[in-house]
Amino acid sequence: MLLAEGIDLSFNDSGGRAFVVLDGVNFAPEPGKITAISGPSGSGKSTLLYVLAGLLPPGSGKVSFDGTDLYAMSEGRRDAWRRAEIGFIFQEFHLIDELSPLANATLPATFGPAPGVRERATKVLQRLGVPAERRTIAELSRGERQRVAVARALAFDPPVVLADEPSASLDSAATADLISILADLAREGRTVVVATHDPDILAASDAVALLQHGRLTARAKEAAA
Amino acid sequence: MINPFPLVWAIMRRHAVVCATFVLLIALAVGIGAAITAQERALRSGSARAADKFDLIVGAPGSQIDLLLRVVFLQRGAVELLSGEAERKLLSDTRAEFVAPIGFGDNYKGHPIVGTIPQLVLHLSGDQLAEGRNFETPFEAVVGSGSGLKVGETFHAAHGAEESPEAEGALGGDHGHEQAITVVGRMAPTGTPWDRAVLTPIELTWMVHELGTGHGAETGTRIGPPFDLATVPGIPAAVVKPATVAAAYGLRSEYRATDSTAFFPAEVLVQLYGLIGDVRVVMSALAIATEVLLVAAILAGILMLMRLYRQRFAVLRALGASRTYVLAVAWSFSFGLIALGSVLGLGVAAALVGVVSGLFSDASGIAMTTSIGWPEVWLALGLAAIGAVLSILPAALLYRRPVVEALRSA
Repeated sequence: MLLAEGIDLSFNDSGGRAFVVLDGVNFAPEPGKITAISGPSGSGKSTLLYVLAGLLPPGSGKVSFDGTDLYAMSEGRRDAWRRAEIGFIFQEFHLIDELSPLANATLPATFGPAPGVRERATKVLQRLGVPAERRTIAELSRGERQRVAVARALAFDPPVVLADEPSASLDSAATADLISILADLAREGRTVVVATHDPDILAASDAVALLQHGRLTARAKEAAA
Repeated sequence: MINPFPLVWAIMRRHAVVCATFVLLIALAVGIGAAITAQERALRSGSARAADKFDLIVGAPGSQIDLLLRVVFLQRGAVELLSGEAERKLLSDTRAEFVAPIGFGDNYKGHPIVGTIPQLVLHLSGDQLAEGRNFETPFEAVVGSGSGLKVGETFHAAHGAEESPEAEGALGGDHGHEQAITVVGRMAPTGTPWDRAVLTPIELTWMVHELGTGHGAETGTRIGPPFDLATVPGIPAAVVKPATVAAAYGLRSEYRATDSTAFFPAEVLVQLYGLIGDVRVVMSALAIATEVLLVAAILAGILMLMRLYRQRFAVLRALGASRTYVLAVAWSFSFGLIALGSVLGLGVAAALVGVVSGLFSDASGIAMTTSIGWPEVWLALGLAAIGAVLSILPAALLYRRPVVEALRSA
């Protein structure tokens, strides 16, 4: 289980003044549910995802996974942990245009040992309905590209999926499709955390947390919707 | 285990034109650098082979290099005559298997006509002619394998070392000689400028220039030694085949005097090689410096290219790629281009050397065996090794780049 406790984080602006991004944030997304992090632009939603993914050490506080302090690990071990336990989905899909959908989905297999990744990615692509006959990313629609990005995030069958504004560059049909996929991932027992202010995703989420002025507060589903 | 190659290959495909340009530039730089050393080696071996049959050359005092170029490489130029006393002494020296007087001054369609004795013809041809027989009378000739003349043909010699437009058909006039010369034999290929030459008895050279026959009052058909020392005309040089090694050194020493000079062609070639070698060292150093600068410039270009990928690398890091993976991708990409350029550079060098050697052989008559050898391979490997080290720089810059900073711009 992913758990953030008492996370503080501040940055210095160009004038050298410190401003607080995360202020005593506690966060415990539940497995089997979609947890949305909402908030205005620049409120620190993405920053919180990076902290949860082991990419950005907090100023203070602790992030743990199944009881292990992420930032007590070496960077190499944290990379390996992230590869195995975290699937990341981005607003812009960041696929490699010159590679096929399957090669993109299996790209994480080139990072290190990856038994069974190809078979799993093939099944995920089929399940997500990405046309197998398409040979390059350029031939895919934006919705299809996001599905390839989802397949890439699932390459190692991770228990946690973090999505950073995943619908921001999708139309409403593709967004509905993505919500369905995220719901499926949650139903499979994964912890799904989505940083978004997309009302459709917020409505589909099992829980919504509002990040404002560095503080995270639980928010009623009805209000969020 | 890390496998950077799918991503490296994808980046190369994405920037195919830029990558091809980088590879081409490196290949040209390596090719030119390697061609310099390969060409110099081919020149050395070709010239050494050309001089191999000329054991000892004796001529008038002066530049041994000029004499070598005139006698062995049949280059045009004026050479003083050997003094009468030295010539008589040399022609009667019993320490030589043969002393072959060399006479120049005429040509046939630009091919130099060299007057000499049958023994030298046979010696240069490997003791056996390829076709026909050796000359036996003053108006017979043996031709080099590349002279264009055939056995049985007759021709008229023209004055001078170069072909004159009026020479053909101007027999007996100001530009040509009246006497018809019959080709009776053809030498085996020697890979030397003598392949283009027409060899006639030295007596013919003397006779057409109204210097006598070299055999006293005799006006018959006698050719070759012994000559009549009292009436033998002057000669610019002689090729001597000493009977023994000791005799060779004795002759060389004795004819290094005030009225003559004597040398082994190899010792003069060594001086020339020293000069060529110095030039080669300077040119090679400049070529290597240029290559290294080019690689550095290309790596700067690669760094700019890699900056376009910093967001994608950050995404890969978010997906679990280690810093080492990013380093491996950036390094493999840079080194791959440099290594490919270096390998192709050897092909460029082989092509360049082939073309230059062909042109040089056509101009000089010296057969040149061209090959890309270990020095060139080491040069390419050396550049690839330098590239391998320098490729760490752009890779390290990406390696150190903070992930989140790049992700924020994503």
